[in-house]
Amino acid sequence: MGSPAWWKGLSGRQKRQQGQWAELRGGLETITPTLLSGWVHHPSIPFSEVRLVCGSHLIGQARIDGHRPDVEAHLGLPGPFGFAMEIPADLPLVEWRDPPQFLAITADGSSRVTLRKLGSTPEATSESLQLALRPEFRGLRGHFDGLAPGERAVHGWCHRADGGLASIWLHASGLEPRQLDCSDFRPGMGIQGHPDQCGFFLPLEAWPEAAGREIWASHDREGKLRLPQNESVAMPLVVSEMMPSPAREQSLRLEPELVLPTTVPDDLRHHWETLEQFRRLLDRLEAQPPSLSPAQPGPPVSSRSARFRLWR
Amino acid sequence: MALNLVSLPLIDRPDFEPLLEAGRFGVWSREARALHDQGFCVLELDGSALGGLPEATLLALQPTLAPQVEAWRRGEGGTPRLQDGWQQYPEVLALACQPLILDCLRCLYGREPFPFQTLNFAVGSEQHFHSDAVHFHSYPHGFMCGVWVALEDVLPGSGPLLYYPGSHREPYQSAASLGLDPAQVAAEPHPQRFFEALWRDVVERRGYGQQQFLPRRGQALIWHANLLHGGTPVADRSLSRWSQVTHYYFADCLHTTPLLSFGHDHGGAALRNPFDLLRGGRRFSEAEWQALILT
Repeated sequence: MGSPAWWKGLSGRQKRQQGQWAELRGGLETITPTLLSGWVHHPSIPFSEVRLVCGSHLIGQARIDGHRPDVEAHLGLPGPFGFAMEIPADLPLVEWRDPPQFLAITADGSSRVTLRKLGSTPEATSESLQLALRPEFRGLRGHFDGLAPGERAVHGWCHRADGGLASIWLHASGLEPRQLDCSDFRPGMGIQGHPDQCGFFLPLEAWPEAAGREIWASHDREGKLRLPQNESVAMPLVVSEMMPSPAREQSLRLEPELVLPTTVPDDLRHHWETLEQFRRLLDRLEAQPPSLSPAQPGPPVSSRSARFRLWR
Repeated sequence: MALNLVSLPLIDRPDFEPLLEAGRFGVWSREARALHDQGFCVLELDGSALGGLPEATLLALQPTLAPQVEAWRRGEGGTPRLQDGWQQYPEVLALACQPLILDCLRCLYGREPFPFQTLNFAVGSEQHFHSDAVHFHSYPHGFMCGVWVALEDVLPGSGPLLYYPGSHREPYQSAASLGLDPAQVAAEPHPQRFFEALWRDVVERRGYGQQQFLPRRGQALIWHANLLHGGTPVADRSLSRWSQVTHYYFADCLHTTPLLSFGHDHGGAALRNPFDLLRGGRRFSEAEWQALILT
């Protein structure tokens, strides 16, 4: 079989390079406004760092030094193939005119190659990088957790580095996306250095038309700048008894506000409010319809949130 | 023109110690150590190194500032000072562009320095201590510094320069970090005041000790962008304290005004296109500025 026309048109040096890059493995796995991560390996070119550039401007840099057992198993080789580049939240809000490129480079600079997102084209990768660098998304950090325990809702979290409220777009293939504010209480987030009020949560019954479809969350309405997620998520099929109950959802979101005496010290007030939000989260989880699966337990008989009320 | 928004100043890098041991700072190793540890260093520039510039600068400026000085001594008017005197006085420009100072800064920071502003004082400034990094700063952080040159011997009682060694390692502050909004800053004639209580608190809480600079003519003090420094009260108004402060930026950075840098909802960092005294024009040409960014 003859070579394709484009191959015949290459010089000898270009052909050698093409052959060389055919052995390149890896690429970008995650493209978010705060983190670019992935892995790269080439059998004969020791790439040592990755760089994010826009035209001649160097925007970010990171070493390729992360151990990735999954990648090592995939390649059948030991070695530090992983990289993770933070995009600083305080990077000035400039809009770069030149399209961004993500490069892997050797220590001596003699070899460099543009990496693409795994399973994506160079053009789509560049578009995602451009989106990730857009000023309106700067400092956004989040995760789409998928189905909540008990599988009666989808949830995740997202926040801005400066503490400002974030919102995300929830997508179901073939449907209009839904925008959700990320202001729900998420237990344990504060310990990990995140704001406590950064969660988003959507009961399944609130979006019945999404049943059976793949869903994902993104920072942008178009769904291109996705929040990281561990695995693909499909909305479970919803049956009639779980059908939408807007009134119930509304009631969950419109509980009376906690009113504290004005004399309460600030630290106690904060603690109190945090517990109150936790109680409301538990209320919401408990108010979800009972599981259809006989293997899964129903809601607890004695309400946990009732105990919080007693404490209060 | 290519920006490098990644690397830190050499004196601020986490691997500063290995760099120092490897001889990266050459003849400026002592200054590098002091700037890294204390946030300032003193350049022992004798008269010949500066070519008599300090005295020439003082003589050039004296007639201009004399009326202000007389008024100040009578208790009328503010502190006699001249901002950006380089525009009128070649001596001021020459001092700002002194090759030895530029060589030192280039070595300590690892990038090409350029002066962008001069301030000349005839007497003690009596300024509240502050970090220059709220007035002008850079991205990446730290690529800004001040160089204070004594144009005459400084005597106690004249309101010597004061500073708090070690305070440069405190977090950088901005209008955003204080949670200020543009309306608040616009309504305050001296927005530095928003930060002064915080600085006083930091000094007290962290126990930073105050030091004063009593140099001979021609000695210079380089301070880190974030070193808290100011002027002591002038005890004797008959004394002068002629000095020149030159502020330097470095190449391949974005330059910012943190006092006007708010949260994302208000536009984020306030970018500036500083004047480059070495080039005699803005750091970025209008075409470069427009081609580079659309804020």
